[in-house]
Amino acid sequence: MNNLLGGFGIVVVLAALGTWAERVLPWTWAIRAHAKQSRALSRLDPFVRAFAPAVVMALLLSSVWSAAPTETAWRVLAASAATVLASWRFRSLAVSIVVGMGSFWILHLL
Amino acid sequence: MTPPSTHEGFRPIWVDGLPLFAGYLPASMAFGMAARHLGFSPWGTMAMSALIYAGTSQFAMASLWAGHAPAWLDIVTVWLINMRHMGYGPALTARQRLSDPNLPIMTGWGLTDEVFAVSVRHPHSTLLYHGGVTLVAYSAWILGTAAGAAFGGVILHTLPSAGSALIFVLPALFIAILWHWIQPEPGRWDRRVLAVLALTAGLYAVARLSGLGTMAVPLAAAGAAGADTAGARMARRRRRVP
Repeated sequence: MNNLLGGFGIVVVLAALGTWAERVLPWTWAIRAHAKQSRALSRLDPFVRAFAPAVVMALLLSSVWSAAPTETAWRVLAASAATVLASWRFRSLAVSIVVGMGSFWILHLL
Repeated sequence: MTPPSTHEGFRPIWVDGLPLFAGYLPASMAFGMAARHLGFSPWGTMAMSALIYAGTSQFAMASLWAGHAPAWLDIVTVWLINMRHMGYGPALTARQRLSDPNLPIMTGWGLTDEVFAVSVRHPHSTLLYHGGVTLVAYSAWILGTAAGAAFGGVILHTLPSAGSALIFVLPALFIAILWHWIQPEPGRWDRRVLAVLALTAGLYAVARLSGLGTMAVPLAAAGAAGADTAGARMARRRRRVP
């Protein structure tokens, strides 16, 4: 079904090239514009600063939306609360993830 | 200021790379298993992970290809889903005042959602830090895909509840990262970030319920960031008027 040297290989390479371009080219432009102290970038500055937390929030909602059907929603809510508590108490990425994942697993076993 | 020692230079890579490694393994294993289930060969499955390296779009491409969709639709779907990545490099540059032109050339290929979310918390991403975190995340993605393609069925048969625990790894990673912005120091709340997050949640729900699928992510983020910028500009103008 998927001959790497045939049509499938070409599709994968073209899809990958586009994805790389989407990641690399705007970043290269931004670094050049920043080096030249471009006015365009300084006008964009407040937008891209707010964009970072906004996109992480949207990614969180997207991951929860796809991972949590209605019957497990309460488990997601409880595990999220445990993750927030761990983040507040320990301020560590690794500890928060272990606590969140662990509480989700325990709730699944109950 | 003296440059950091190699030990200090590598430490943040492990501290930030480990959660990414833990988060990517189950997601990539799920992809490996799904692709094999859809009829892809082990090499085809590995090629998608190694070259495209973008979770959601890989799942979409695999199901489109398996459903005999036209080739151009597979390619354009991957590009459209990954369009949100266009904002990550400029956001990193603005937040961290980056000036090294080698950063995007050497590490830009691996600027995924999670790598961006983790590295944007740092005051300044060096080539060593960004390259290290990118390689840790990428190796987890490749390892997980290979493991999922080769032994996915056996693992889930032996430990059926493991799959359910792993579902929550990425949401937990995002919650911990968001907390860092909401409360940058103990007891100090960033109300502006809270407002941006609330607005993003509202816009995301509207976009998702309108059937926009994965496009809801960039649209909600851009909408909330745009509203925040416009609000700050209006407040500045109001202050200038006597």
